[in-house]
Amino acid sequence: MILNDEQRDLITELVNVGVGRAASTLNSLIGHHIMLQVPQILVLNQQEMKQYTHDYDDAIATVTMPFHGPFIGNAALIFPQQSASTLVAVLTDESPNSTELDAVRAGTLTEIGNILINAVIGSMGNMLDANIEYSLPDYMEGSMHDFLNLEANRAPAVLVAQTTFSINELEVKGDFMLFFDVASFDTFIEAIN
Amino acid sequence: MAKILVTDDSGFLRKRTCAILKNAGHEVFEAENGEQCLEKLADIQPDCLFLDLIMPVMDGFEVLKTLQDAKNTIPVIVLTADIQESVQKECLGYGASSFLNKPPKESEVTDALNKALGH
Repeated sequence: MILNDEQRDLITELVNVGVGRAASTLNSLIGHHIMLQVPQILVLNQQEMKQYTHDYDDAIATVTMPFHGPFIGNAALIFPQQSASTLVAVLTDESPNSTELDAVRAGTLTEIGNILINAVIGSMGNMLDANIEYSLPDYMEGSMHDFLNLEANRAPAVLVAQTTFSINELEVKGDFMLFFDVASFDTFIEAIN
Repeated sequence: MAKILVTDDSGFLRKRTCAILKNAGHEVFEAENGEQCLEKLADIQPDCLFLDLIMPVMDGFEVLKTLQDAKNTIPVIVLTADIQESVQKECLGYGASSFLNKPPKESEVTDALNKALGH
């Protein structure tokens, strides 16, 4: 499957608007400016995915949410562990080294992931006039290898939309990754057109 | 002072919403999913329900449909991360009084509550 320039531009813009909405939501939660990078749009097989994610931190925290509707896929919010701890500390007013933080970490990050992923995918749904349904979010701590081995991420080929965001004052960074099932790609392109 | 039931599987969100409502002087109760919500509605008879949509065990859509079928009169304020306009329409079609997106601003919560309570 090859994307032409127009399709790539359209998808980039869709993701841009969605991530912009998510950044605005995160800003309202934590009161700090969110810096966004331009989304990368790629079609990758499993091996290429491993190479593409080679430079990720060894220890990450992820929230994933499968979605379906006119198109099917999986959305993920990925943080290096330290960024995850800092973000939870800011949101819950706990000290970053507090033992209480561990108790609320998974729940807090899961909900943040839920809110931000809904902002991204929901914006796309609104723009495409498409009704998208979600499954419950799933939280995981581990490595990128563990993340790629999750059932939802093991399709033979995926369209990946990836954006990095950062919160400079807090030294927090993270990634949105959207994996679109290539089998539903034609429907996605039809919806865009 | 009103009795309000907040239903959300996220402890983080329940805490934030309950804090806003308690600061406004209301008595709050909590449920973690739709099934608990329906049980507590029967026990507590709250003046208003804040309801998340995507939850385990029973989701918010099922709660809305159940309440609509039972000709419920307790106002329901949907509070969800789902920003889709189609979902908002669906919830209002099931009889929700208001539809708020997470994270809610304090003013949005109090305005929706005042509308629901007829103030």
